[in-house]
Amino acid sequence: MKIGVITFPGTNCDQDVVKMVQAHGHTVIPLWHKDRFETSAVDMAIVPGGFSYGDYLRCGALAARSPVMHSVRELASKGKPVLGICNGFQILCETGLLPGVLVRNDHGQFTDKWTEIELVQTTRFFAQSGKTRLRLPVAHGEGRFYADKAELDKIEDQGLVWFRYTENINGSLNNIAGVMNKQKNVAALMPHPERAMFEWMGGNDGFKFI
Amino acid sequence: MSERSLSEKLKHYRISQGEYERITGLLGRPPQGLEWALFSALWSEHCSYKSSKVHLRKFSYRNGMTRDDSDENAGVVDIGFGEKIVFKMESHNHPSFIEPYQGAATGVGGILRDIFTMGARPIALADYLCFGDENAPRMKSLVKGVVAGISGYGNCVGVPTITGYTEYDAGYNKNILVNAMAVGLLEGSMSLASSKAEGVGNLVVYVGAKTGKDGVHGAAMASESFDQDIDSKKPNIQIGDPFLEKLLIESCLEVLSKNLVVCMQDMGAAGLTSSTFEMASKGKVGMDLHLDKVPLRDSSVTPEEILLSESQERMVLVCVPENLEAIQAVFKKWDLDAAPIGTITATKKMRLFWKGDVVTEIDPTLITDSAPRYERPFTNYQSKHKTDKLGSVWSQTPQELRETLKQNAFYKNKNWIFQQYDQRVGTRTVKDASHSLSVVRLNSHRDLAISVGCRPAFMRMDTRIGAIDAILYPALQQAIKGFKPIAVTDCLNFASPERPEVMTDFVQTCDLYAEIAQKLDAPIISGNVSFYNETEGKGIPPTPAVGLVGLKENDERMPDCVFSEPGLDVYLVQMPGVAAYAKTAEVLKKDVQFVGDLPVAYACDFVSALSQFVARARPQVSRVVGQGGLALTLDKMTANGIACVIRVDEGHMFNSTGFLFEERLYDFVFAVTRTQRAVFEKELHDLASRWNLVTHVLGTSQNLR
Amino acid sequence: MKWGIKILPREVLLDTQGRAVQDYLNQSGQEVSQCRVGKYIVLDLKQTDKEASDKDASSKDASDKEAFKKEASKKKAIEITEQTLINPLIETYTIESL
Repeated sequence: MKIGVITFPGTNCDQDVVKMVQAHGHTVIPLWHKDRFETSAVDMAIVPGGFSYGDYLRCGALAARSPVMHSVRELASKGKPVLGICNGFQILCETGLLPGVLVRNDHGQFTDKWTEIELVQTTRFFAQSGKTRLRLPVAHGEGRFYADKAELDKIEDQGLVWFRYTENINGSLNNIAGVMNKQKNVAALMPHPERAMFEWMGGNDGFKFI
Repeated sequence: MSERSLSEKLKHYRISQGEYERITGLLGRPPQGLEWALFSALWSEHCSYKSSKVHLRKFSYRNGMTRDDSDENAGVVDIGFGEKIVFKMESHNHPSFIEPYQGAATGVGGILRDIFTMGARPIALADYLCFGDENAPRMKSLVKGVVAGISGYGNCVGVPTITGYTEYDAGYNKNILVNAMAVGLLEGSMSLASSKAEGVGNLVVYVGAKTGKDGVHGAAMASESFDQDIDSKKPNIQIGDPFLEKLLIESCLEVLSKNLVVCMQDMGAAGLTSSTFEMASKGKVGMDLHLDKVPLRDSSVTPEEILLSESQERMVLVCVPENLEAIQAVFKKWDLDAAPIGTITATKKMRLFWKGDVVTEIDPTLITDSAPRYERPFTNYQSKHKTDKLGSVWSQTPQELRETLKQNAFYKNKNWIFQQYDQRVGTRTVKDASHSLSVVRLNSHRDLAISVGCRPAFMRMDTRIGAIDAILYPALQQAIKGFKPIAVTDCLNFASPERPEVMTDFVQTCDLYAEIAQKLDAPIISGNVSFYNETEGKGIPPTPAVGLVGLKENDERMPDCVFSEPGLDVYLVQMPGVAAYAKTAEVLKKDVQFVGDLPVAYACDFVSALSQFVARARPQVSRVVGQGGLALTLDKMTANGIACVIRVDEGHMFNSTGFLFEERLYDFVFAVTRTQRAVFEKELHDLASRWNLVTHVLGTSQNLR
Repeated sequence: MKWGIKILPREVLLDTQGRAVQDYLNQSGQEVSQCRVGKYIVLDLKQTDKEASDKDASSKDASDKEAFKKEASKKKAIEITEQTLINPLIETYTIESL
């Protein structure tokens, strides 16, 4: 598969995602934030973590309006898979491809720790290893999933919740750690599967995530 | 110039009468115009190392993996397989006390630039922090601010902070210490970048953030002690922007990897002055610099401010004219400025222009190489707390003592700090800060250990023992996981060098560090000195922090640092050395005391013996006993409800407070599976008889739940 | 009593957030010569009984009393702002009545 990995100014997990893509034997297509791309040239796009535009204004806000995201929207509308991780989740919410928004952790601090998440609904493409409980690390200051009552009900009713934390680490509503769109081809989560590829990293539940 | 205005000028520029006379001698006339600002910045203690240089020369030991790069921004170790490690530690004490968040953040930013200016990608950060008593004025907000600053900067820039040390002691109530260490990796086709300006006709290019009035006179300020009125000392404080630093890292590494650059230098203390003068001076060339071409944040910045501004996230590079366009294209891609501001000349003079006119013309070596060297007076060091026999100072039971100690800020769990740091970005982290040793994995399938050392309580107890321990303790922590220490960086934090007792501690430390580096075969490849950590005449305790990097030539499993499974046999191994009540005595407000000595040669040789022993004996768990003695170490090793259970009669030595709470340099704990036991015991027997060690079987690891 | 406090980074200092937003806007074709990002805080202050009674004693007519209360409340808001809400090393503020 040809997998596009997007770099915004301030993205800092792009090379980690590149390593993950290569470890699974796929080809990496680097995608630059200023450029649109041919949707036929990639089979999947990943929006990696980091601090795009320094997280200034609102996390993900400026990145969501970049040229490359126009093409990502187009890719998604064709039913091709799009995965967001951490800041990538925030960006996909800001573009409107995913419901909800990520706000500051309820305890107000950045948090780096291993967490356990539980699979709620499967997407069409990602995390198909068959594992229903995964141990993955998180590292974020703004990872609290939020939506107003009506939207949250809709997310739950339509079965758009991908993962829930087994222990709520940041005040996320309904313990939500990851969501997907209605078509189930766009999905994102706050934990970092690329940081849990091999036993030496502290766990390998992130392997076969893509 | 009248007498009065001269003395005011000297005060303003923080230049002494003697230095003024030296400058006048060098120039053949009194300094004028911008020269005042140049000498003020570059002859400051912070930039010139004028009180320490004669002693730092002792750190000259090098081996096959290290070249003499003492001229460069950070030290380099060539570890083979096309991989080079670059690292350095630096202080940002004064700014962090004034504004903890920005002080700590810009400290991290500055040390990162020292690493990538050499062409190395930063792969890990460590920090060494000393705070005052928890309840001292402002202390809670200082602690919170510093930790948030490190977190805010390091996380955003995408370099994991994987280890650190945090001290709390009243000696730092009015002068906290914030030292940051960065480790970089140079691999593949990337070659080491130089900071030596070369090639007449080549261009001097300014890259990165625009210049504002940030931190003007910062270098001179960091070379002075605080007085009561710290508000009057506040210049326009420097604001760090980790987002811009990330762009700067990527663009600088890109132009270096494309071989577009002759040399590169970051703008640190004393900004543009320090970087350009040093580049020219090292390359023995001249430079014409057009100050009006420096990109400015606001137009009111004066030429003097341009020279001295400490605006963050800026670099200077030199390139052949043909490469300028390609360089500008790279920086434009990352949305950064890259402005040619001058050229290299054969004149060996720095000529500074403002709107076409020469405003200053001076030989750069007068400012960089001719700074004064002071041989500050010192005396022979005398031990203060050595006794013949340790008194028994505790009236409490071991259980009560353990609980009392654990209430102290120093012994409390520090996870709340490390959880604010991204410890895994870069996906190299093998062991994060929750382990007794932090480790990253290299592409060559080898492991690199990164540690910081210097336990100030031992420094306060005895400068000699404390200084030995500062390197030996992290070295043993690495050896007990199978690593070999390969090189050292240091950050020597002291009070005023003008006081002989401070200088005595400083000289004693330098002598010991030089000796240990050689005996351990771990050269001191970079470092930093921070003097004048004092307020109203009261200095900090001597705190020569150390960063140590170790290598394990494989990626095999290393022993755990906690009791990871039940049913392990637990051994205590004791090296003959020092037994002390140091931190424990301080916390309990008892007399600090110690017996014995630490022979340097023996201890250094033991480090490699220990590393080889661990590789052969393969313990499941290993740990060096830390402060608070065996009791608190066993406590820390308890995890997931599995602890070492010691079953002995009440009067047994294992139950005595002395045995449990003495801080012995050094004791080691191992835990071994039943199947490995025979091999382990045979190896241990050999080790013990060769090194004169005492061994005990303490008990077994058991599930308490 | 309600007070609005507008906080901006000090003019001479680097505003990292403002710079990033400004650069982004300029790249996307907007012409922005300066952008500074700050925060706006709304404080609703309670009036203590003691303050109220102090004013009652010292003033005669109702409008006078009202002005007095407002002055005291503003003083309080400024005190809170300067001691807690801003860091005078890096920020400036203006205050308005809401």
